[in-house]
Amino acid sequence: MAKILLVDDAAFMRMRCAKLLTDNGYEVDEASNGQEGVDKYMAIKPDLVLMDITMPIMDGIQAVEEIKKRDPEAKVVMCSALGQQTMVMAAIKAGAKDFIVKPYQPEKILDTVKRFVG
Amino acid sequence: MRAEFINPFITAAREVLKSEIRSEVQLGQLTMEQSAFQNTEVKVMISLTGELEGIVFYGLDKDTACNITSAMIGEKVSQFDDMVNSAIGEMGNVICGRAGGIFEKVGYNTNISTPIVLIGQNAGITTFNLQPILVSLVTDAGTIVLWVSLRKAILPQE
Repeated sequence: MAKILLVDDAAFMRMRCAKLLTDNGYEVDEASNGQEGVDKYMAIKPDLVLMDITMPIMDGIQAVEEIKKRDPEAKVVMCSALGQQTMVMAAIKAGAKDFIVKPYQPEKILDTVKRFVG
Repeated sequence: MRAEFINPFITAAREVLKSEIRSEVQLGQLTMEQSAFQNTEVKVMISLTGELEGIVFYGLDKDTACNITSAMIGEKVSQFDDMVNSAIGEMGNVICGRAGGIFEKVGYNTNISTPIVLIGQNAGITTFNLQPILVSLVTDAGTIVLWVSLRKAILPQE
């Protein structure tokens, strides 16, 4: 069973994504800011990270950089309301593999997750 | 404030609410009158920074917040709790994020803060020399009053 780490400061988004992913057979862990996301990544080594950008303590772009420094093979997909081209470029430059723009679209999330972890 | 600065938020709100709660949005009149906003029970506040700076609020009643959350998750929610709080903060965040994409297309790079949710009616809000423009967004879940106070930022020359 593939393990997904959800990093989002909005408890509501984590709840919604976690339900979607567990209902579809994935194992899910959660973090509520970028720093917690980096720490959890190192502790559980998930198969994929879904990462928000605007978060307290450490934002998602910095968190991707930190994760990629520790594990260059890490697969991180950004999942953010910020769909500006500059933001997408910053995320890709930081090491993100893909970028999902909110609002929440369950099919898009599942398609993306399947593409990276099956 | 330039009236055109509110349009990206209206467009974004229409798209996001259609996607999230499957509701069309009917617009009220643009106004500078704040009483309808002040009377709302819940206010979501998000700051914008970058080439535009200022603040955006979404004012709504607790029942509307519960109705929106119910529509977002497809289950009846009748109690305004932490999950509803988080859901409407996220709704405000997604609308502002999408508006940022529209601003980028017309040449303004912006960023947004994490949302802050304020509970309580009759909160007096003063934005000093940044005059707000307000508009009611009437949805199937209830009315959201959108408040936008924005201006072009004066950025240091590089």
